[in-house]
Amino acid sequence: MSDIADLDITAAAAAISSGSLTSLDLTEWTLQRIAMVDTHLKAFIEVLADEARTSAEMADAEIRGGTYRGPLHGIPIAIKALYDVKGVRTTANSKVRQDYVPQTDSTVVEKLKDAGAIILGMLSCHEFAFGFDSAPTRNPWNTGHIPSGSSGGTGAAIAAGLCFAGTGTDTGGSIRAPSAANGIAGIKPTYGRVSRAGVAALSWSLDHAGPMARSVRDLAILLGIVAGPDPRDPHAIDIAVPNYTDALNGDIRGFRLGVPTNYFFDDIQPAVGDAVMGAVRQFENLGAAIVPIAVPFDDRVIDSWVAIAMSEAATYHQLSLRSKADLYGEDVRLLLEAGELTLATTYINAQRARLSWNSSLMSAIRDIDAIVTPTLPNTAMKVGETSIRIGRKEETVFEVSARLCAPFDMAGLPAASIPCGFAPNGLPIGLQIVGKPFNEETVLKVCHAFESVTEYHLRRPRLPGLQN
Amino acid sequence: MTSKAIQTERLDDIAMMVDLSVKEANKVRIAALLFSIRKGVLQKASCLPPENPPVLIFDPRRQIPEAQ
Repeated sequence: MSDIADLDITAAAAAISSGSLTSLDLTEWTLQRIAMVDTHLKAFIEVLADEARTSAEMADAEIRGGTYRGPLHGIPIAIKALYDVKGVRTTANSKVRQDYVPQTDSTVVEKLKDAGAIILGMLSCHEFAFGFDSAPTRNPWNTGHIPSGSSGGTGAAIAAGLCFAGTGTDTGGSIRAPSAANGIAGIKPTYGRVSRAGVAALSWSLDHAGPMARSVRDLAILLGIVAGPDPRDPHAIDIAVPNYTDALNGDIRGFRLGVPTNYFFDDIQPAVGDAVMGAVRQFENLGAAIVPIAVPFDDRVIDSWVAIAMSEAATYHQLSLRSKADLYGEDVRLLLEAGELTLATTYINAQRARLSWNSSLMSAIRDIDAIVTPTLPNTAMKVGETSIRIGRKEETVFEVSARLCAPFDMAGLPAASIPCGFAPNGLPIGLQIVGKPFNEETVLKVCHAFESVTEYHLRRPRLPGLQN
Repeated sequence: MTSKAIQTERLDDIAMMVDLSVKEANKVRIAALLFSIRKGVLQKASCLPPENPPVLIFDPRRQIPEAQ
């Protein structure tokens, strides 16, 4: 059993295509592991055991019959409870949507199913993706800590080996923050690269859909499958989708990597700074040029991000906030009520500021290939902790989690998080790599080069419920 | 331009205009949040030229030339 725990999609697909493992083997293994571990982690809202077994048997029959659909064929994955899955309760981890059963798949889920993925179940998240603690899910590295969010169920499940990959959404860091907090890889693609059709909206102009997995190569496989235009989402535009795995050769010689001299290294935990600067030295050793850059951000970028996110979310929830207000969690209801009462001029000024920041950012990165920053200022917070002081000021979970990620949702740029170290408390630290619009290839290439010379992504947590 | 925090008892009047019932326990935090956000947004926006337009619909096509 421990051998399967070490496999990523790439290795599992090789085992399936060679016949040394079947999809049913992998599916039964993950279902057993979920049964043993998930009472402690609470990463799944619903496990679709029977459906997964049936799909795995069908995948095995197809593969035996000579029809191999590709590297996702027969691989057990799981879906954030924001993505519609036909015939399955898609609750967004909210009592407001407790009985919602979609009649069609979201576009991403449809593409994953077409590629032969086995859907194990629905993963928990922060209610409607509007927050970062993802209760009741716990962090597999230490169950006294949160998995971050909002895709906390996805982060925890992948880190614990309860699925080989999963889906996330990212409006202010919700793919990258839980990837960092759980020691896995995740990428928020460029705005418009992946369809959001059939995914519950949080904030239309900030929402991104993307994959989370155990390795960068797995991210490249998954992104290649889910990216592309979609008539169901007018923002998912028709721009060529490259073969992302082709770029992963570990060679970043001559790449110019920008390291911000301001904002992104202010008020971060020392262990985070040390790990990220260690990664910068690795890039230098790999032949990249490190270029100090000044970025246009300051704390006001988060004010603008909150104004946009709250106002758009309040619009999406306008009717149910009046008919089902008591069904929302305390924190989400507060943000939606504040969003209803935000002035139109505040929202419009925030969008004006956004354009100004984005334009300055594009100038700052004109001559570089990617930006390197920490993903989060801190390691995962303790369960029940509502604020944290790092350096100058006290911040809420919401503020500290969005601080280094949300600027790139505002800009719509592709951004990934990969593990780059562990703090003295044993919790993982995330490295954020940000690229230029629609150049996920470079982001993945830089991440993969780092992964090729480090072993942080190979470490596994000691899990409650398992004798390991 | 200055910002002032709204008095919590006046939140109800504004909320009533849009048929919204604000939870009593949230009022103080909502007033503080609205004040802080408006202040931060205004600080940035007041430095922008008046003709600087908003991006009301974020259009990914605007980004493509930068990718090439």
